[in-house]
Amino acid sequence: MESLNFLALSSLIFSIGFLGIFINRKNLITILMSIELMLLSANINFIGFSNYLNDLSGQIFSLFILVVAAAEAAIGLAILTIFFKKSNSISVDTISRLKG
Amino acid sequence: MIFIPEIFMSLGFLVILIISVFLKKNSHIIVGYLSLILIFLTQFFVLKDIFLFEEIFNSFFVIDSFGSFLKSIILISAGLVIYFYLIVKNEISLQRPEFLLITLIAIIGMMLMVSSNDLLSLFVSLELQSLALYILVSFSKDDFNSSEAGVKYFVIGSLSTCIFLFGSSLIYGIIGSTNFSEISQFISDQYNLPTLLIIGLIFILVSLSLKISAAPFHMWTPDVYQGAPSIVTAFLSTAPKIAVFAVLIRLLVYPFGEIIIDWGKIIIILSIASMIIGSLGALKQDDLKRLMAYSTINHIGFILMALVPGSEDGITAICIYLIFYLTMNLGVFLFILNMRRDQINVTKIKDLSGLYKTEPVIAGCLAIIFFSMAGIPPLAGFIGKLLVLNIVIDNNLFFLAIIAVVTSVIAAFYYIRLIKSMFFDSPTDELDLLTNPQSKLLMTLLSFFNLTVILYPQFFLNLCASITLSLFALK
Repeated sequence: MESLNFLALSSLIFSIGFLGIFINRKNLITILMSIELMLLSANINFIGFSNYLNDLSGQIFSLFILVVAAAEAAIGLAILTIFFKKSNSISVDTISRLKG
Repeated sequence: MIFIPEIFMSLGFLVILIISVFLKKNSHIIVGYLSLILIFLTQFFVLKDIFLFEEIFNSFFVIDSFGSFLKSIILISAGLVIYFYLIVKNEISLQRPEFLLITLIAIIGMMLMVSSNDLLSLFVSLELQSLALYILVSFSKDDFNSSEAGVKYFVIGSLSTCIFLFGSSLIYGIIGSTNFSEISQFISDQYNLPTLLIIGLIFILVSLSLKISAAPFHMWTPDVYQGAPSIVTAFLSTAPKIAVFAVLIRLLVYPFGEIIIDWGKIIIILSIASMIIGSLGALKQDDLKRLMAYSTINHIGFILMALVPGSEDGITAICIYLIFYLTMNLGVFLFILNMRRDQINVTKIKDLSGLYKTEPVIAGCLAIIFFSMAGIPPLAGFIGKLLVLNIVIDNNLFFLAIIAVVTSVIAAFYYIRLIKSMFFDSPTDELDLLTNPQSKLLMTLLSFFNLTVILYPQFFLNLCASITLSLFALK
């Protein structure tokens, strides 16, 4: 099982990203970075398994993930810009108008 | 060429995009009617091939009658929402052709989702739909709540995407392929399944339940429903839910059908949690859109319950329930879109009080729809709940049936509270009168449908039973 060591790395990166979303109390940009980390951890898995199984489709999947991650980051930043224009702040604590 | 509806829709979208650039005045109205025509024509292409079965594009997509039927339901609900957009007075910031164009992209994504037969095509089409929906939710630029709802929806949606990808990477690692038929082949050949495969399936289930807002992954739903513009909420609560349910059914019944013993328990937990949270959470709400969010969670719990046995009857009941849920939800949202006082949109529950005095017909229609949601016989909602409970009891899941009945009694309380305030409370400030006749007509038609469905339930049963057959033909 020597060659499956990348699973530990990808799980660690995924957990860091996951905790980054929930523990982070400061900044919305950090959430975007955490999302990016989680997407990349899935990429590591795909490429590692692709190498392990000697099968090319995992690498193609990871290329698709990169494309979608770029689109998602663009839309996320656009939404953040609108939010910043309204609230003059990107701190997580300002997202509290809607509750109940 | 077999993949005609989606290709036609995409080309039509590009044509409308080019036309919209040259329009000067009232461009959103013209683009709206053009999109309605496009949806109508696509509907024709979908229904033309409804009995076809074929795997296409190297089995990336599958065309079957289950998918075609749900595609046509998605198109009907999206078409109705676009029609609502045209007949109702919208905010200035929504009066742009881009709004409808992005809605069309979301519809294309949903249609691809329903027929995808590979984790890769499923991922890409799921993203096409979600990215369009993030933009729609935060479309109202003048409204603080809309942008806040957009941020929340974006964060939760991306989280769900990441979880989906991690799960599918684990499944790929175990099986060596992302194709549904090869996953199904692998699972039926193996006796001892590796734990990583089950973990991957759980990841994918969590991500899809984030999308359909099943509790305990429902936290975003009330905020997003309240913050988004009402027309977007109407869209969000119907078409994407149907599409994700189609994906969930296809994924669980076809590739993972053999390990029902593993995912059945997860679905039971999701369904119990959704029913309890959906019925208790709504009790203290004062905003009608928030209340509708909790009502959606409750209905989702009910629908998930029919998925637990994974049988043909269960899927039939889900399809019927989804159709009825669609008519009820669209009826309520059509009213919410028309709720105005002094030309300003209001959504509080206390604004409903005394509606019977000013608008007796609309109050009657709304009461029928609320009674139908509560599941009072002989309305449509009752038939849906009856079918689901029948399946649950047939499979000896009595505790699930008891929880379902108790929670729908609690849910009936808040629907009836709305009806009480409409009919018996004295009005504080009267709402504006409904001026457009199309809204009145559509409300009457939707409530009439809910009222008369008891006369021909066999029609829906036969229809849905015949289309679910194709899903089980592969096994």
